[in-house]
Amino acid sequence: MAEVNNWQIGRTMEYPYPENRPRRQIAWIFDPNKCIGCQTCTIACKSTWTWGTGQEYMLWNNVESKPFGFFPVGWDVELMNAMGPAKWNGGRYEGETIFEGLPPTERVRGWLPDEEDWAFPNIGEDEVSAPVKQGDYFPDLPHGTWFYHLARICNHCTYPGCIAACPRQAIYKRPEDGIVLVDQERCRGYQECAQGCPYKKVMFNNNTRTTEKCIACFPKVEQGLQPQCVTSCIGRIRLAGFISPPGQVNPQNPIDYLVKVRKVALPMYPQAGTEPNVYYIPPIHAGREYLRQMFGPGVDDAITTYANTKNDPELLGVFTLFGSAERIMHRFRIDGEIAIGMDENGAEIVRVPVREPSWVRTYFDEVRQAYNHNIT
Amino acid sequence: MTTERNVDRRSFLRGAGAVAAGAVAAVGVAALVSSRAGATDQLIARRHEGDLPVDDPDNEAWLSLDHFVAPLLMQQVAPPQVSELAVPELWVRALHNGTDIAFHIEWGDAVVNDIEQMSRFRDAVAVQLPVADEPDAAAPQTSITMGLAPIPAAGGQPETPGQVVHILHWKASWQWDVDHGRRTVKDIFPNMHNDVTPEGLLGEANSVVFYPGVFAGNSLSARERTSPIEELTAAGFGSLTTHEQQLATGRGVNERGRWRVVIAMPMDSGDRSKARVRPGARAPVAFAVWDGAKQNRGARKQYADWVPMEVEA
Repeated sequence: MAEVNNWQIGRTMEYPYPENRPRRQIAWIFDPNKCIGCQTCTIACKSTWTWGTGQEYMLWNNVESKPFGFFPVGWDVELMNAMGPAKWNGGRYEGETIFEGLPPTERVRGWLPDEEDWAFPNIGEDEVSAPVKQGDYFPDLPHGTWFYHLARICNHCTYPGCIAACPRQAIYKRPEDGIVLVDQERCRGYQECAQGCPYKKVMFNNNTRTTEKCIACFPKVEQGLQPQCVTSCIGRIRLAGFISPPGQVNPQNPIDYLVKVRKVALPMYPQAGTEPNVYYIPPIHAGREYLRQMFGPGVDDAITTYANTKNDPELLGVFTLFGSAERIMHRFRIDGEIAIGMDENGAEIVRVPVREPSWVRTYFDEVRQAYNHNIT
Repeated sequence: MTTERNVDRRSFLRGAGAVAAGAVAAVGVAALVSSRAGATDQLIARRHEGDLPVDDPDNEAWLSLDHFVAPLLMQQVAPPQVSELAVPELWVRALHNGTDIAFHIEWGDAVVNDIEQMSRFRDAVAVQLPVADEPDAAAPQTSITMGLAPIPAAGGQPETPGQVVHILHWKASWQWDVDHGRRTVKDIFPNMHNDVTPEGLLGEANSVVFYPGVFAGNSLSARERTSPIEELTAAGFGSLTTHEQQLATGRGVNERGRWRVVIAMPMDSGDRSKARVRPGARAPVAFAVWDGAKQNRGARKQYADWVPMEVEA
């Protein structure tokens, strides 16, 4: 075991391989506040990559309704069962990650879902956290009863559970962009990776009898384009780009800005220790205790910042860039009421108005002596 | 390995011995139906005239032979490991005809696992032989740990050469492929409906890019299968590699809760990277077995240490 630095848990930790960060690390921001659970991302991914036989139960991208939706069934409940309640001391995680305190039989603290757990991708869909009684309404945040849509892909972790679990190094992390891939020539179909991944995003193909996973649409990323699930999102909840290594911050990089400067986007289940690279803006209406468990101790500050977005032109500007262009935006700037996304060389990719022009009609039209039902 | 672990393994060995003794008693009845011969304390590859009964594990030539009992250990040398001894022993018989050598391996497994699917694993058995000019059966110099990787020269020490082993791996899922044609998702989930498939839309040849394992030439993904046995080489944990030359043949059947599997190979394939066995000499062989029902796969297996096999002249 090597000792590696994991900035998301505020300490070093044990990992089977030494710290070896890629030259660039792909990262995503997902905003569940905006997600309507339409599954357009799921279909975009499915119809691009996993429409072959043997891949019927594979959803490299899925959207589940929290708290009762899971794919596979119960994946994060199992993770919590295995790890226990997360013990945080400020930004430092005091408990054991999935790589620490292991029995001698295992390379990772993992579990294997049952076969049928993969057969219910829409279980718990739109189910709320508690019964809603007649007359209930929720004027305050967080809501007394809630659910939210959690879009999930492979986290292309810095310290992947799948790589740690594979006994024959058949999974690798690309040095050029940090994308984690299964070597289809070396894979022997042991499913140790499926057992070791805390997010259960590695899946066995019963036709090829090898394991497959989200490839971050690397043929697109290599051309400077964002993945299918990002560019197909009709709610514009996603942004893909590159995150700077720990200790470095580029405030003009939209990913760095949201994760490191404004700290409004947080890793999911950081206590697992894999340093996942999909960052979520916690849904402001959902139960805080639940969110702290899922997104760690930064939840309350992130929600405070996010809830004030309308008074925060820069933050609002970055959010308007979500889903505004297919190309990866390495930099951004806000020019008055215009948000501008730029490529690696600073060339402009897109400009978007921070606030869409709008006109508010009066409720009562004096000329026609009629009420307007739709006033914006 | 720490002292603590050694203690653990020793205490396990005592437990395994007790389990093995119990299992011997339990399978005694089955022995009466599957074999008229008894047990022997030495593995001898008997000379057989003519073709070896490679495709017939029930052949009289096999069942009239005494069987060698190979006690099995849980793989607890390197993680991932098993913590339950799913199979306590193998019965091994061997025949050769001067050209080919065949092993007949028998073990108790009441549940046939021949489907590979998410969270489902298949039964399997393997024979391991050292790749060496003069393997020493009495004191095998090759590590039981699937050989050893070479250690590069460092600190004034010269490079330590690696040790290579030749592995013949029978898989229940491959046996199904050979007997019935390759499984499809319809065999696993009969009610599965698929609107459109890559091959349906693009044809077999053009759709191969949608089957990365096939495209990469992975032996597990092969569309056509003529043998249930895969030939591999290894030099230490995690180095298992499909051999370019696939000559092994055999067949496995499960009847009355016992697998009987024949694994055959040329005694000298002409390829120096494979094991060779000579009549009149002794050769070390080792075995491993996987029980799919217990989620055995890869390193999660039972293995038998080197057995000094005598090859009749």
